[in-house]
Amino acid sequence: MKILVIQLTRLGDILCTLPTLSAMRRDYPDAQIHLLVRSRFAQAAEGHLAIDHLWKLDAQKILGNLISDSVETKSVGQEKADASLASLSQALIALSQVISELRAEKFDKIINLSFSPSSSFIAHLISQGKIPVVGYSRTSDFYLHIPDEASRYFRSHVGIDKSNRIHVIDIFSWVAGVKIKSSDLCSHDKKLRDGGIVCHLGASQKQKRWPDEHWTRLLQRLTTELETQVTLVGTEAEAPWINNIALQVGASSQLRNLAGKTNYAELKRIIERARLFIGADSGPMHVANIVATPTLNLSVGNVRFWETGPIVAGSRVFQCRNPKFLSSDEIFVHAKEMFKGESTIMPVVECMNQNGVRYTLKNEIKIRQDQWSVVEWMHFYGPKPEFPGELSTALNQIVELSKLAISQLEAFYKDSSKAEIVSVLDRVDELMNFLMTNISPVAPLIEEFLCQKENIPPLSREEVFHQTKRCYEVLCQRGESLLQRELKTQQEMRL
Amino acid sequence: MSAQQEELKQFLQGALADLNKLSDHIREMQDYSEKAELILCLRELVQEQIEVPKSENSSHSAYATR
Repeated sequence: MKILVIQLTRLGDILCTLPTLSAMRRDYPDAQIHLLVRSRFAQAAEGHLAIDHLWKLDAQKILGNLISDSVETKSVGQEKADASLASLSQALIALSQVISELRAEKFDKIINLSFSPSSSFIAHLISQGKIPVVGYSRTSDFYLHIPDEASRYFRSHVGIDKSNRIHVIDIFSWVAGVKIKSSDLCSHDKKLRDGGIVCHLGASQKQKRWPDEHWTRLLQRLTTELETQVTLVGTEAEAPWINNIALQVGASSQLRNLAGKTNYAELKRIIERARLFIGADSGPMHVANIVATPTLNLSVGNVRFWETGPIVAGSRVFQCRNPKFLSSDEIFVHAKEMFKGESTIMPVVECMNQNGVRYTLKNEIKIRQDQWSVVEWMHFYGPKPEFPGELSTALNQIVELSKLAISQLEAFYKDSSKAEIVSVLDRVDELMNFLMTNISPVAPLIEEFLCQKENIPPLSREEVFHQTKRCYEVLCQRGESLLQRELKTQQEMRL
Repeated sequence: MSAQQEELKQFLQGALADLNKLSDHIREMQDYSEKAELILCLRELVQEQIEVPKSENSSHSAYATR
């Protein structure tokens, strides 16, 4: 069997995909596993034992065709339009070549772990509708097509302001249909662990960064009070800023500044030797994950650590919307404890050694608990959540709206000349959207309903009718099931 | 953002405008050919490159329903 895994997002996502590849290699020892990544981040997957062939999509090169002609000719008017059309053709030829090469491999299965529109087109272009695709793809009329439950889960519940709590590592393995074991998570030799502390001061986005003065204070305390080497890492672009912080820390034989001076392999070796990694949710933190280095994660801004944070058992996460409020002295206390292998009595978010929900929330941090309990009930055999008081009114409305939609669909199916039915259905969806936006605990129910509805492929009128009706029926059944619980509770209270 | 990056972004935005027009035409004509799909794919690649806010890529919820 020949399998193509597509991972066209960034470095961190490629690193989060590696455990799934290891699990696939174990489950399918004779399979040929190919991985398609962007050439810019390919280093992260090079040499991995589970990969038989690494494909590199050079998006810059493809898109370069769009730019080069325009830049070179500096043309105007019709000339400019012609040049633009010519460069577009070149870019399409380059993209088409990549697709043809991949098609020639005649894969038996495609697993797309990217969750992006471009990757969904690429998966469909390679498969031509003939090869089974798991993950985002496209229908024959180019609508988004999500054939598997795990990817539909991603679309419905993962992202900003969504309720997911499952780590992406586990979502990837769920999509691929494999179970990750702890041995899949990292390839670490414990004898190597003789280094000190590695700090990554940067982050992919500015809002994820901890303030300079906080880093300076922390580094001063680490270098003077812990008597260990502290290594600073970062990209070339981050180097000037990190160099400035290193200057502020002052001369110290304990401080080693390697910002902008390491390639991926060197960075991996440095982090592998460290006893502790400190940094934001960024590429180097994911490197710490795959080499099993415990992490003290500074999760600032709107980063969702439960989706992409550290996974090494004993790692700690400090979350703060405003990075200024994350005190360097508090971080130092935790860094010292972790470095010395001591446990903490303070409230902290700690990473456990288990798949799925990987964090214990030992303090008051609540991550949309009301929504998550609904998601847990729908997908992970969780207990039926409570919908007391006004919330049960919202559930009632969902049930009534679903029933109304079903009756209208049936009427429309019998007589499609009744155009007013379409506006009733539009109004139903509008009200569903209102409930989703304003009544937080019911949002996952409606998000999932919308995802199922958008996923109806181009079919006969009859099939589209049945599938659309089915979406409303599932929503209605879920609503009724939750309401039954409330009725039972009310009856018990009366008794 | 450096001047070079800004210039690059501007060129890509120009290309995206062209691709948007072509995409609208494809939807209008219900052109389900491979070339049409390549154009839609290219458009998404450009969008991802310049991180268009509220594109299908950046928000998981705003996709047109059938």
